[in-house]
Amino acid sequence: MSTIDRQPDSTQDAAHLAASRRNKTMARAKRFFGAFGLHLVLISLSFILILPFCWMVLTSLKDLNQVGVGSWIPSDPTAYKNTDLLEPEALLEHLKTSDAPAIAHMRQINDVQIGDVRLVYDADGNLLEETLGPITGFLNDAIGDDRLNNAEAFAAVPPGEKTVAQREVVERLRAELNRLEATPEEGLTEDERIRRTIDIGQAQNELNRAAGLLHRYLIDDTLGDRVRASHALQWENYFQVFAKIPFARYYWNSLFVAAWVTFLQVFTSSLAAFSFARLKWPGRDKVFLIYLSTMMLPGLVMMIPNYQIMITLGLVDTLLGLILPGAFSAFGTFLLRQFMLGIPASLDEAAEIDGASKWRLYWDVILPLARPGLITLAIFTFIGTYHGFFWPLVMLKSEHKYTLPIGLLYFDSTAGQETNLLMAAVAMSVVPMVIVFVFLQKQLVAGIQLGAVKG
Amino acid sequence: MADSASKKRRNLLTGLAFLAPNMLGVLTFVVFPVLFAIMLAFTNWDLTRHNMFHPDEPLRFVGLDNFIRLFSEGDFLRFLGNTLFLMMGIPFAIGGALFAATLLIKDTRGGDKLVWGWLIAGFVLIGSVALLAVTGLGQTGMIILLTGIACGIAVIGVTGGVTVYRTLFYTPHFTAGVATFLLWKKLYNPYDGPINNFLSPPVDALSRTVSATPALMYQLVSWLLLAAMLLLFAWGIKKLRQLWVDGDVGTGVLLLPTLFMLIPMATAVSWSMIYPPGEAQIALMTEPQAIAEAAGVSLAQAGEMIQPVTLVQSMQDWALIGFGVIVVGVLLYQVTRIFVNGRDFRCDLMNGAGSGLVLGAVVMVGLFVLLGFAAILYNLPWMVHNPRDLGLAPPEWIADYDWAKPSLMIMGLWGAIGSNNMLLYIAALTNVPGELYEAADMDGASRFQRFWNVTWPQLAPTTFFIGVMSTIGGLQGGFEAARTMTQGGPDGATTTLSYFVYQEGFETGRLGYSAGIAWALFLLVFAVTMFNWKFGNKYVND
Repeated sequence: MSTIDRQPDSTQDAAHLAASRRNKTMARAKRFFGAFGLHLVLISLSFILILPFCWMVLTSLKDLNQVGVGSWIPSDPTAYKNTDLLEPEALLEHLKTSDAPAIAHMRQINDVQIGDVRLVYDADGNLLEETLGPITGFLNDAIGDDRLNNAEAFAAVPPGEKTVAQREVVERLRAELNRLEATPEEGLTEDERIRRTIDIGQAQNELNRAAGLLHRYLIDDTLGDRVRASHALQWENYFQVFAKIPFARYYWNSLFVAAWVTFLQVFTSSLAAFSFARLKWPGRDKVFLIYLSTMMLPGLVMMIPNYQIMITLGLVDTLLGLILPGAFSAFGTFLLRQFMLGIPASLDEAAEIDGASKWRLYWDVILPLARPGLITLAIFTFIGTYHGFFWPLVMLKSEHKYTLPIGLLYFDSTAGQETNLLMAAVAMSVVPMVIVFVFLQKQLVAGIQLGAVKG
Repeated sequence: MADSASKKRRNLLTGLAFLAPNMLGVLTFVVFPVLFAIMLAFTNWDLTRHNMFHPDEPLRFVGLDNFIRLFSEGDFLRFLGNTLFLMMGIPFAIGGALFAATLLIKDTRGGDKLVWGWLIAGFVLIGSVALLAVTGLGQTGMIILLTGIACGIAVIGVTGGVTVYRTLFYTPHFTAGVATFLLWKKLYNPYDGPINNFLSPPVDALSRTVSATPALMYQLVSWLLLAAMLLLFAWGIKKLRQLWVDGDVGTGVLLLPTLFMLIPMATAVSWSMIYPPGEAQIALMTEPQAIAEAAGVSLAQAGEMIQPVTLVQSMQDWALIGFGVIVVGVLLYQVTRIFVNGRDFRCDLMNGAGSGLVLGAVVMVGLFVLLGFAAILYNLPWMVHNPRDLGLAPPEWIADYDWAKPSLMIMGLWGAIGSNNMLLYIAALTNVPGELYEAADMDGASRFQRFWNVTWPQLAPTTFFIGVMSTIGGLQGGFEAARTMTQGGPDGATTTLSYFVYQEGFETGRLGYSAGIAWALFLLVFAVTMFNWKFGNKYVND
């Protein structure tokens, strides 16, 4: 087309030329917008996929008091503290006159605790007890308590529409709950009693949920966007993780186990693969077939017997017990055998003529040539062991032997409320994988394709 | 002769010597346990009865008791249903991976401008943080933050090209494990998790809109969706006929049962649309207390009367049936193979039964989605007037019986888009010969035709491999998520077979029963693997 266009001979060609130019512009625009759209789709997808990680990192840098707040941005909880109220006595007086009693009443909690002040109420919102001075223990009502510090603003601002509506909902739900609880239990059949318990439980849940919303609306109404900006990143969260749990120990255990399993598995598998691929001995192919068939067995079937074996060997709750079963793999043997089959057979003959022993052949000739296969197997074993969950879960009992996944699991069950610390721990546990990926990307991708081809 | 015999023996010894370390391990930790587990499955070994405190309690062989119990107690079937329900995410996962792969093989710009990209991204991030500091932390701050992240991705993506996107896509899959499950557990927190924080305002708005719109509208739209479903059905029938004429019986056989699954589903939905809730029921929903008092029944009884059919529960049943239907399809496939001798037996559409399976699954999922939308739309007006009068609320995700499984599926999809499957598809797509596309262009094929007639058949082996691997993985999966996020709950909604094995074996200590479940699971996996081998070999020959 273009070569014809470049030879304008007749009078019609001017129009022709213009048309072709227009076409070219169109094509260019089309290409541009095509690329634009492509990038747009790619960017939005990446954005969605990456967002959870962003939340993770930001939350790990938050103060505990701000974890459940809508904004993702870590801010300094002390930044908007009313300076007048820094003195505990003044704070105490302020809280007594603010909405704090109402909130305590609404949420059916019996104490509100801010900084060094603690107020205890009975179920009807009457003040029973006030405490000054350092209070130890867990913050009872973490979300937004810090904002209560600005009690003055709290009292001054009239409640918004949402708050009023929600207050009604809460009252209605409470009435409903009271009514349910008031129904007599006597004279009911078993089924009806169960039904009653379930209903009360549900009503309780809904009341709690509604009261929680009310709390949030109250805070939004009173403080809204007035909270001043600051970017106090709580880096100490990361150090606190190490203080709370033996996180460094988990790291070490995980890397220790993964490194040993990788080394042993690659070593034993390469030996076996060498035997299957490069040596001739009677019955070899039959044995290999048995090996292949074991690959199909799901690990789940073997868990209980393996656990019994570990009890017999006395290896329960030891790292050796984690390493041993992982050190021998039919899959690794299979993978490396396929790899070694691809190495020309003439090398063996040459080595034999040179009088090299089989060990020399294995160590000096085959292993170096099978390096890509070894690396692939090593990466996969390492990643698999690092993520390993089932076996460590049943094997490990004592805390200082936990690997990272198990450690994280128990950290979640013991300190799961402290989302910021948990997220810090999660972020740190992800780091080694990211490093592995960044540095070994190429081998990894090649390995995945290799694994797929071999099935 | 003697020399050769001794040489043979020496060869054997050398071979075994190299094999010995690995073989010892495999014998100890694989072969022996398997034999042990077979035995175990036929005993009544129960740690609560056979332990040091009950030295006289004998360990007995109970024959097939464990397996009989498996099917008589109903737990196994229920958890198998859970597993299969979760596996309905697989077609989405494969589709997502393929979609990502088709995007990522395009020649997007990249290369030496990467450094600039990082620099600019850094500036954008620093700038947005600075803006944050200036403007404040309310909604504005969040918008700036999210824009900053998006801009950062945009800049490094546009300059870095495919490599950057590939890395970003791959990260969720690569870091998957307990860590990301805990992350998602927090994301899904119904009360102060970011997902519900984000969803609350729009759901509130929706709630208001819905209550302001007449119910008739929703009924109308759901009828339209039902019509769309029937159109899809009609298209399927037409396709079937064409497949029969073309002699492409294999694919048709797999499509047929899938399509006929629709009939009961659609009937159920249209039935409830023809007979919508009566005046009395709606009154019960909006003012339960007054009505209950007037009728002289307790609120609980009234609640039972207006209990809506839980859609997800019934869809789970349909998933189970769907699985059965596909199995039936495969059997039919074999049968027709025997009987339809005169007809040229081919699976032209997508080169084979494996893809027919994928097509069947995709059609099924499409039907489910349409049906789900129809049912949700239809139920919306009544959902807003919920007895407790809270209006529409965002789901409670993993804390809610009906939402727990879909939540896990969404999480799975997040990890699956940029998974190993994506990498496999990228490799397969680069291997598609360019001449095929040139030929298609010469014939004036549209973009969709190009994909359907050139790319998709060329990808068939890869799709088949991925599909079978995902199926095997899916049958054995779900343990980690169940253990870390939900403890198999709520009320067993996320207990998969593998978690069931764990519970029985390591929590309640019924080792014999646990082994029985594990073997039953193995037989399922084995069936799938056999299927794989049979058809996989066919592919290699094609």
